[in-house]
Amino acid sequence: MSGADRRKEVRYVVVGIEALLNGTPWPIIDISRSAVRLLKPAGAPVNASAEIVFRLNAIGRGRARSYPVAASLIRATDLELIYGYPLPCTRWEERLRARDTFLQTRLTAL
Amino acid sequence: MDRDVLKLFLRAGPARRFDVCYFTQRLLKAGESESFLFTTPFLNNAILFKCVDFSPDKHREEHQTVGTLVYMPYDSSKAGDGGEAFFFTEANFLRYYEYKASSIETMSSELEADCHKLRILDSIPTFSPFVIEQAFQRAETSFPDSYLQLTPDVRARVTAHLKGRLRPLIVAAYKHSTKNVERAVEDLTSKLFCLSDDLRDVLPLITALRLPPELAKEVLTSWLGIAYFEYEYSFLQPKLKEFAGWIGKYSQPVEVLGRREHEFLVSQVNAIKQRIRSDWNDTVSISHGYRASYESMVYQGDLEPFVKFLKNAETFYWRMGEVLGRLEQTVAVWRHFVRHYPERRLPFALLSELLDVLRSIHSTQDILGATGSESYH
Repeated sequence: MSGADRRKEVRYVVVGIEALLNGTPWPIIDISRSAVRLLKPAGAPVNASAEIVFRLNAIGRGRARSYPVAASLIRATDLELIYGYPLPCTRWEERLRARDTFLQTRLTAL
Repeated sequence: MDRDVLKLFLRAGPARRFDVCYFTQRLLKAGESESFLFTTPFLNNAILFKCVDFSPDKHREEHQTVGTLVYMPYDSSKAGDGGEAFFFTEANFLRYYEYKASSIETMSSELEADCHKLRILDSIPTFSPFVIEQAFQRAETSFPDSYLQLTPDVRARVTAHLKGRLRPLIVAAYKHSTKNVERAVEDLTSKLFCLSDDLRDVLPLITALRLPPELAKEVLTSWLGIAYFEYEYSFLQPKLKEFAGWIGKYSQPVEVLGRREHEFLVSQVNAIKQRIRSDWNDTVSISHGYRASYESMVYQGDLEPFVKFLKNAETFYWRMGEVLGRLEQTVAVWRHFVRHYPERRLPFALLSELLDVLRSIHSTQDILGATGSESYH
């Protein structure tokens, strides 16, 4: 996927998803269907490739799930790291939407 | 004010009503009288209401549209049977204390501590448990958990929601900062989440957002408060829409009415609908502004809309709080009235009563409108 295509993706500000980078949880800034922006802890090492495990909490009657993906670094700054990853499951975007704080609290006119 | 309005307020939701008395009675039953909220006994039997402040000696900022009414029932087990009340100001509190305690020469430290707690409760637009907890944390004043209906699960969920919103914002703001940010952003997220008076740690953020340091705490707290209210409103939204559906479909009585009565009823219903729609849509508009400015900053790197939004954040925060209390109460009252008539028309007498109550809730006069007195009999 090209960078231009990736930039067109909807970015979600989520709650209830944990990203474990090589086994360590890193705070998610935002996430799209094929890339995740992580907050870089001070002094943390930057690897060109990494295994990210997305741990999703249970919603309603659903169950908690984990999705390991092989991620590759797209961009790194002092503050953030962006990793691209393959689609973890067919209903991935739906799962992101269900945990997006903006979608979950969207108010519409009466 | 008559007792009906008082009873109506006693039926308000947590945004508008903080029943200190209820929690005190619960502690008394459990034999834990040492963990009361206040030292002054009458305050522990009080019920606090948020309502529009029309008093001439209004001491609040212009945007702080609601004040705190401290109501002490004569009989704590029959709160609707009348009591005494004062609109909170430091002077009113001391005057009432003097009247209850017969004399007061200087403010003791215990009295000052209670006054300080009332000041904190007065400084927030709603009594939502999370808002109370945050306000006391910011003021570095302890608040007993036993006076909050806030489960660890709810607290964790709200905290995660708000911190999730803050993180992208801080990253975006620091991209505009000329200072080198070595401190971990996550640590700053926590600090910003619960701002104290010491703003040194978040100063680069304040500079990036071009906030005057003396206003920064209030503005950032209000911004976070708006995000919290969006969360609360999202739970209220389906209930309010259910109410809107009901009023659109069933706001005619079972009985056949004459033309004049019918027209009067229709005009009443329309006035209420219009007021509720206007309140709700104001909130939606604030929420849209909040989101648009957030997205501009976080995704387009454009700071201007966000800085502009922050200029009015305090006003928006108070407005959302004021409306939340009213709408929450609307739904509670409506559910109470229709509890025996689900998805049906009401008898005329009951419908008229419901419309009267809704009119009282949505009139600008509010709880104090019908009284100048400090007693409720």
